[in-house]
Amino acid sequence: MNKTILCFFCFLFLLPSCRKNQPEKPASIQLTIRHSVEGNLLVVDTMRYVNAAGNPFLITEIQWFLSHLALQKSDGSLEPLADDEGIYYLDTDLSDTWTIHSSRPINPGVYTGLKFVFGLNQTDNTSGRFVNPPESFMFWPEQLGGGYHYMKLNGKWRRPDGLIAPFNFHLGIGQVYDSITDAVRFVQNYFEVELPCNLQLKPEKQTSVELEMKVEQWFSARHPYDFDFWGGHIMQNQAAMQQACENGKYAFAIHILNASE
Amino acid sequence: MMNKFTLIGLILTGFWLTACKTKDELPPHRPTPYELKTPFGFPTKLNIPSDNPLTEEGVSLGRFLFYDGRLSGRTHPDSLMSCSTCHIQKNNFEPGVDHPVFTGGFVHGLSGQATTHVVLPLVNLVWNHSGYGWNGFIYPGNPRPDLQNIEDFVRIAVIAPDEMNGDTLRVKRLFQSLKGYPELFGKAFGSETITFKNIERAIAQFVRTLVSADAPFDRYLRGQYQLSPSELNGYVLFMTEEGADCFHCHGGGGNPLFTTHLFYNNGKDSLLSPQHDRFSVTGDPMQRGAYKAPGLRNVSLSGPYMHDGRFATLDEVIDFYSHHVVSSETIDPLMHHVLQGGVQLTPGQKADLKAFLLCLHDTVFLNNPAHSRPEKFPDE
Repeated sequence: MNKTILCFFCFLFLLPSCRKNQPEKPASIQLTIRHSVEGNLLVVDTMRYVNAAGNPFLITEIQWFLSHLALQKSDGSLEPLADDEGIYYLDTDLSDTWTIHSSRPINPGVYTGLKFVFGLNQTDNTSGRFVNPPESFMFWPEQLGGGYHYMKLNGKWRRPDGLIAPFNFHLGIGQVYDSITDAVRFVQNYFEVELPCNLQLKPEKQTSVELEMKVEQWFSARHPYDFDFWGGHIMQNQAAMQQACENGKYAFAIHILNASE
Repeated sequence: MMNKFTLIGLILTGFWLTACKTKDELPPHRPTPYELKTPFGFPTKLNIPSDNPLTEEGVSLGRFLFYDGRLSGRTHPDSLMSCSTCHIQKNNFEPGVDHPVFTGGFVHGLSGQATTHVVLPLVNLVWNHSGYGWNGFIYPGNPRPDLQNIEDFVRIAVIAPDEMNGDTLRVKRLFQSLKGYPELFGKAFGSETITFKNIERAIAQFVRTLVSADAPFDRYLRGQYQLSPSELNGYVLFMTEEGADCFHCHGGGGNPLFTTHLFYNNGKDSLLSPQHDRFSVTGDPMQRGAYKAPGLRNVSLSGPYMHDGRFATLDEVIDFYSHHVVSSETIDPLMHHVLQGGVQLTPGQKADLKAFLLCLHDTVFLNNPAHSRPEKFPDE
């Protein structure tokens, strides 16, 4: 009997210590992608926008990749949302691409930022990676550096002569030419985006966050992007792509929709 | 002692049990799965409906039906029509501009009524998820269950006044009466009673096996062929915005289907008044004048070109994209050379581009005996 009582007390002592060693239950996060112009939801196919260079323009569609999506802690450590490269294809025409769910358990805690790569980094951006549409339709020609478009942003603008001209604001690997036909060097135009936030993730709770692409920023943040100057296509124009990417770093914002409770 | 009634009862029960056993012992229908190999670089996602998987028996039956002129539901030699009447293997499963009956490649049905659009090739359709026909009116996920996939196209081809102008009941009855066919349906679908649904399924299965993936360009991608300088230059033109800029709609190395299967207004007309464009399917006014970008495999055989067959030759097509593109309200943004009239190729560049396009000519596919007309039909 004495032994039984002793065992019972030992068990009582052990219980709390076990509880302490148990890992915290994971949190999850849902990211909703929103494309906006001047704070309002993007409206496609109508000539209702004017960029910083004064070009009236419309957008027909935006298709793009983001990758290596991760939450960042104050010490700089990262908590990826996926176990792999976390490559996501987003398309204004395909609503099922507008929401991203963390696909791995996320450690609860306080996060001070969201970080991702716009497009695909040099390691990830290999030709043949995607064989199925719609991702495969984003391929970037081998002759221009290969891999995939980071983004296809298509639309039209009104020229000073009143004519409507189509544009393909396509970003990917750039080229440096020695003549009009021979690319001597390729330029990785992808860039990292860091968005500060104050996010507290709690165990077993899902937090909803909105990632906003502020479309107008592609044409204004650092350099007023003039369609009349750059024309309707820039895949072989590194200077234009560089300006665009420098603008693009400021084209994103994060909003916490509902913090975990 | 057993009385008479008990004995009879026992015998009847015995018969009944035996009958049940025989029914239970019918061999389960297990057709042989058809292995469709994914060629190098091709998508792995296939458009094969779950209720019509590819089987050796189904594909074999589909091939007979595809080529059998009695698919029109008639037996008189003047009234025979099948899929192969217009979809001719040596012409990329299209009529061809040199067709003896369909002058210039413009087809008409048994009634003499011309089809709305020119014929599209039956090539690599197992990778089409976006819609069949020039405007994609048949597509997976269509709220209309009768307009979803290749199976439905079979039915439409049989009943449409501008095609076989037939009647599905008559067709299935005719094939039921033809020696050999019921047995083949039994092997393919587990029942010798022919239904039109199974006719649709069999032909759709055969069509899904029509894979072109062995053109010189495919061999180039596999490291087995060296493009000539002209072909290589044409390839560069095909793949660059400063060149001919074909790849955004028509694929290339990263999309060896040579089509996105999507729909574009490619700048053929400044005034849009078509009745069967993409807008007629989606109701989206921005898709007025938009039609499917057809695959470019075996494109030299694909004339007449464009949905209305306005161009007879590949040279005319290249000239169009080079100099004659016109603007309209709904022109696709990918046609960003429109205000210059096109991509402005020089004669030398046009020749190179054409040389590259001819690298998509797949003689293995065009002569593949597995796709050809059977030597004999089941009742012969």
